Amino acid sequence: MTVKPDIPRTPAEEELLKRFADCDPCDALSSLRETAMAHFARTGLPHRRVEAYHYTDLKALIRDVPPRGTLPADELAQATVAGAPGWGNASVNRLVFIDGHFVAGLSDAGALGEGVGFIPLAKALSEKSVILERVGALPVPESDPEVALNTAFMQDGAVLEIAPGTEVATPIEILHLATGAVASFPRHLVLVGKGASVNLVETYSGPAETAYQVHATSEVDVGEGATVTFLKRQEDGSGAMHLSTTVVRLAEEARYHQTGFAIGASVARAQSFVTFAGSGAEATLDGAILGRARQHLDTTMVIDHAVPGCNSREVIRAAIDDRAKGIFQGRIVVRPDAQQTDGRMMSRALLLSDGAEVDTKPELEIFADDVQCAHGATSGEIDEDMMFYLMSRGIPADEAETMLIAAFLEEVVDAIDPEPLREALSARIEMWLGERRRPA
Amino acid sequence: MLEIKNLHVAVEGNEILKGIDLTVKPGEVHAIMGPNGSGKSTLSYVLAGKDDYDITAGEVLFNGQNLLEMAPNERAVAGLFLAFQYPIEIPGVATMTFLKTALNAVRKERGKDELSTPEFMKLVKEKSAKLNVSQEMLRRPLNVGFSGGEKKRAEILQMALLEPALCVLDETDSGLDIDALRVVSDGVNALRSPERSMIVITHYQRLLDHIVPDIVHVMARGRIQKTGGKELAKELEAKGYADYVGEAAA
Repeated sequence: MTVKPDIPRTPAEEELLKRFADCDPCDALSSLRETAMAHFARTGLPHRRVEAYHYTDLKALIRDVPPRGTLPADELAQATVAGAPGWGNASVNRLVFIDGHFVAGLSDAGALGEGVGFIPLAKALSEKSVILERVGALPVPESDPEVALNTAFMQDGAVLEIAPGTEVATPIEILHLATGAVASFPRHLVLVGKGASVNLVETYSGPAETAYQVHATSEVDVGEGATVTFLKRQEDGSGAMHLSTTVVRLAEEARYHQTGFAIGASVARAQSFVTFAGSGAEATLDGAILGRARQHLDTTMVIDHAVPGCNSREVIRAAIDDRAKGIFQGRIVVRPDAQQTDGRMMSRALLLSDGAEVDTKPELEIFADDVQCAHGATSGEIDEDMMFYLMSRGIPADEAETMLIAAFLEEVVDAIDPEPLREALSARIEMWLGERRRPA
Repeated sequence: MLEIKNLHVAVEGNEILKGIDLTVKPGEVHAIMGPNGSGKSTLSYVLAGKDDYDITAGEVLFNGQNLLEMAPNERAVAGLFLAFQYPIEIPGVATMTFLKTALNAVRKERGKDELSTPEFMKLVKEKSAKLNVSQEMLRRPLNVGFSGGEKKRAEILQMALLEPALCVLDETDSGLDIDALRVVSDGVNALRSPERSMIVITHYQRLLDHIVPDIVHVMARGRIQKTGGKELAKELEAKGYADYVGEAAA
């Protein structure tokens, strides 16, 4: 007897299930993969009647899944890296992944310094490394379908271990590049030891007008008193689908500052699940979202205050032009034990054209009584009084608009640490604004 | 310099200005006094090019150009400057950056070279010192958290930098204490010249003790009701606007 799913499977879902059955990944994580795929078989791709995916209906948006890519030849790899978004004067140590595969020859794995352990996930899998026990260990709400797919198909990624007390001076960038219409399932695991500090960057980029897909998941386990900044720079190509999940667990007194910079891809959803597991920890999750043409850019976050005395802050700024769509969903959960929680979320959207759309869904779920929580959301057009004031001083309309959009994003950009990374992203925003003034 | 002829202006169907005629010659300082709601601020916004007004009749010529057809920035380039009664706060735009952008935008359109950062800094330092505007204030976001006095001094600093031909000062004295009023007035007076004209809009006579006008107009109910010399301001201070407000519409 077969159990029929509620909704008929789409060709993309059938393809994924078939591909999983065919590939028979008999590796060290096969039981984890099978559990994930069994979950996927039950739920399929999430659609708009699944609350968390109401605005980003993956069942409708994912029509097919391109094949996974292979490690590109040296020449192509070099050319691809040469075309990647840069960091201006900032120095970063890069770990390069092309079409989902680690490219050792173009990476700075040897320069990461003392106290920083690195092994590509593919190598850990082939060596059946003990570190694999840590993969999939962090809590993900309701077996999220995106994480399930990543878990089922993950091949490679960065496994980083920062030893206790290590202060990593140079930012570590995990650079994801695509060369063509492939699907990649990168999986990263970052374990930050007690009292350590590190600046992490994830960058995504690829060719324009190419229907490649990124199904990424990163797990970041921040130890007691450790400090982590995590900048996610999503500059995928104009035809790309970008689905990425960041799962974070914060131990006692940990400090975590994440900035999501979303400017690329045709359809993107960047979701974050942050759990406070030790008291006195602080998390800030910011987002700068710049959409144009017909881009669909979803930023979703769930902040889970599972223990007392933690602070969370979310500041989201979305500038949406043309017929693009911006989505922000933010949920703060305060569990019964999590007294003295301080959680605040503020999202603001700037609609730059009549066809632009923004959907915002802030939620508070509070089960403790001694807490301070607040959320706010606004959306609107460029302020006419501000425009008039700037123009009355001789500044032309397009330049005044550019100044006001940059100013609108400033609160998020200004908080990016360290400074050289901030400057590089400011320059990128200026470029976007410049393109807006002089359409190609 | 400026010729306003039979200007009628309405907002959402309500006529606010009901036929203004006013001629300002080079070097003249005109004061426009009047009670609240007389249309003084509307006149200043219409001159500067704010969008929310319907011009139902009349014309405004500024050095021979049809002012009402120009965008606000074109008016600024042509030499019109409005010092706002309530300067707008713009978070995220540093005052210094704003000043440099504005000055260079105007210079470029006037056919002058844009100033380099060191040249600009030198100029701003010199002008801001005279107005008690600190360098720290210039690093702050534009007008954000400025006191009433700081906002007005910043307006006059902008005026000094942009070198307009016609300055329109809208209730520049509002929110100022006596000391701030003196600093601002000194700043304005320093800009008086035989080529530069001013329209000083105020409710009270006290500003006109500091910025002494050549001609005083009384505005009420959307029209200029009376025009005279500076003694008219004194008369208004003594008698109030009752004579003008109380008149039944003919």
